Amino acid sequence: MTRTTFIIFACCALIWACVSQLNHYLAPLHLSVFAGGLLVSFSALRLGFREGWWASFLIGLLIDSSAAVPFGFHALLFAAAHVGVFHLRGRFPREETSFGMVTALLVNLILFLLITLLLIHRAPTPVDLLPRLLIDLLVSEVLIIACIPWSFALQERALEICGISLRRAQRGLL
Amino acid sequence: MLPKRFDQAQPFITLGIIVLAWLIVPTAAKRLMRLSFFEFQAPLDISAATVRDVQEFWSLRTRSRNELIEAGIDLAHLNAKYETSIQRNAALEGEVARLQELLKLPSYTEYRAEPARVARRDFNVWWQRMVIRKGRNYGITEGAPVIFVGGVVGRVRVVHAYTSEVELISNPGLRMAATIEGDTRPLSYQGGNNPTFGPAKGTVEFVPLDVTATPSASRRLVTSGVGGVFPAGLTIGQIFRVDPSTDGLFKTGEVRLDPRLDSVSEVTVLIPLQTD
Repeated sequence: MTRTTFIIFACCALIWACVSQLNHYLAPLHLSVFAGGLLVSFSALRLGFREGWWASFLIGLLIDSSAAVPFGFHALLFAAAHVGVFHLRGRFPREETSFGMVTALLVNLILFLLITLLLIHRAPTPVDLLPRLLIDLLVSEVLIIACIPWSFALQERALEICGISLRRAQRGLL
Repeated sequence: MLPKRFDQAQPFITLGIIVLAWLIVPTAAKRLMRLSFFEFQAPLDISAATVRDVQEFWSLRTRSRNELIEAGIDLAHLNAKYETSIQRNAALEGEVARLQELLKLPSYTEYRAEPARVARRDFNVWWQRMVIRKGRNYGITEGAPVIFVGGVVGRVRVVHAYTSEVELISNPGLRMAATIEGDTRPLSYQGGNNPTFGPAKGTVEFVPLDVTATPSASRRLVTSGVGGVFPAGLTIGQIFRVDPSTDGLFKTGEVRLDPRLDSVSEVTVLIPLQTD
């Protein structure tokens, strides 16, 4: 774990806190948003493997600490998502924000479906969950489209303020 | 230098090793980590809740004096009404104690009521929880029942230093014993699906065949007191539909929970008193 890991973890914790507050206000409408893709995509696309992996794993543990799931559930899913994106990122224009958006949307969709598959047994009538699942997924994807430029900029600027330039590192200048 | 094929698979191998390593990490270590991570993020929830309280305070400051005087008069009326209820309650408690003594019945569990503000609601499709702003510092205990003006909220799942996590009765994983008001036969209540923009619902099983309920003639579902977690007679919701179950021995029904449960901001934790 390096300084980069902790900076990205702090940014992701801030994003997660904002999402939690949004969910608090959406609760009376029985709506909730899931932003796993938002938390994993920057570190998987822009950072080195170890730095990004630890950041994703730690933010997963943070979410697990207040979730009704076994500890490590989100952490392992986020770590797996990170590995998958990292493996494929060399074939795509990973520095583009638009590609970051597509990645975040896909990762979020996959994580949402995986969590649903793993927790669906808790519901007394799983079929009745379908409309709520679709609406929550739709709202989550809309949130990601709206927030991804800010989220990427926040993490990139936070690194720059701390003297870490990703652009120079990516061009082999550091 | 590693072969190229191995180099490409290295992240997946690392992930596999870490998953295996995570599975053998002792439970105590995981619990310690969980508590540490929760306490790390708890100040965020508390700060946000405090900001909301300040907002509410300043919005109330904009009210005119006349409105405050009217609210004061209403409160005085309510206080007078509650004063009468307290006196009646004391007389009834004395009667219950006398009958318990006379009939040699086991005494009811006594509770201390601890009001608490809600710091965060987390009502997603997979679980329904809320964080309240009191924890071990106020003697909250795990499993303690949580109630509000509309009846049962849920039970305390985890207690932290300054906060507690409450599992709601709308949570699909929550099960509890219940009875229909005026009936002593036990039923099984379970939290149900919570449709978007609709009221929270639960399901009830093992309903006797003679029980009927319709949306126009719903039946009040209350806690049974069986199991010792919840005191008897607290409102869970209204049974608005019952259908025969597949085995034909019982009926299953749907329960409509109090809509105020979704936006509750103040709850009361019932802490069992230690009796010798």
